[in-house]
Amino acid sequence: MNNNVPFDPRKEAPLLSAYVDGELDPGNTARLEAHLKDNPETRNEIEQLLRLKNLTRALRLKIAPPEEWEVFWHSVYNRSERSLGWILLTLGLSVAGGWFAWLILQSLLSTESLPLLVKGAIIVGIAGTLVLMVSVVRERIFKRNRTRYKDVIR
Amino acid sequence: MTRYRQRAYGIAVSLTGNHDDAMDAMQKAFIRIHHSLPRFLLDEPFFPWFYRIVRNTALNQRRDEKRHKGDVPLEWVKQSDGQPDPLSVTMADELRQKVWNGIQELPPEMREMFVLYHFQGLKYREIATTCGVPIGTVMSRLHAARTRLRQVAGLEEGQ
Repeated sequence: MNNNVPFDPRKEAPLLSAYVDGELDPGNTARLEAHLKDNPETRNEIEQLLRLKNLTRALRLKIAPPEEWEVFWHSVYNRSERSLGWILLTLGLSVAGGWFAWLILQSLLSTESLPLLVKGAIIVGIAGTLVLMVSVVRERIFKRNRTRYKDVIR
Repeated sequence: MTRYRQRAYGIAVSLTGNHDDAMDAMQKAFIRIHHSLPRFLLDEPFFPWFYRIVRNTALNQRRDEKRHKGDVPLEWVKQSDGQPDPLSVTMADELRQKVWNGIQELPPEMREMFVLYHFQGLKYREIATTCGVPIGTVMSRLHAARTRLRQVAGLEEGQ
């Protein structure tokens, strides 16, 4: 900002907060201080901001009690352990389930008494189930990646 | 991690709005941090990286939790820096209570800036780096938060 341009309290209001916090650069500080000399309204606004800052100084964020932290680390460990457990369980069940499905499919297809039409129907049914499963999993992954942080302000 | 836990708690509790959700969010955040540590670049400052994980987890927790109770996450204490309070004790307490309530009602993006500046003691530039926003955004959000709080506390009427 050009140092010769007069300070505009309507357009540059956020600079008032920066001034109160001592975060305003020297150029803008000079502009603002020149403006303050003749503008009691802006001076009043600065005073209000200072009062608010004084009031806020007495506020503190609550601190979690020490006993909470003992429970906390146990919970982190348990949660981490459980997520590993779920991954292993899902993996194991998928492999074992796939293996059993393959055995059942093999035994069905090798049964000579079963008509070809029924064998075809079983294959098509299994293929349909697989497509549906893949589709659901893919949709969930897509949705998770796309909408997970939609409300998060970055 | 132990060194940062109270800061993380402060972030989580101010963004989720209650103790239980904050602790839950922190558990998730610490697991994510633990898993992501190998990807953390050692020449980068730790706090912004750490903050972003806690912040995102806390905001997701707030969004996901239907049981959001809006407990009281902040408590105010008397000034301990020896500065005389220009207001009478009762009036100051009343105003602080209003400001305190007003902070809970701020939109998350404003509350975040306010909490980082006033309660985490970060400078504007540090807030900008931590949140990945321009310094002008920090300035305007912080000022907008204060404008709301001034209205809530009735400071604009010259109380």
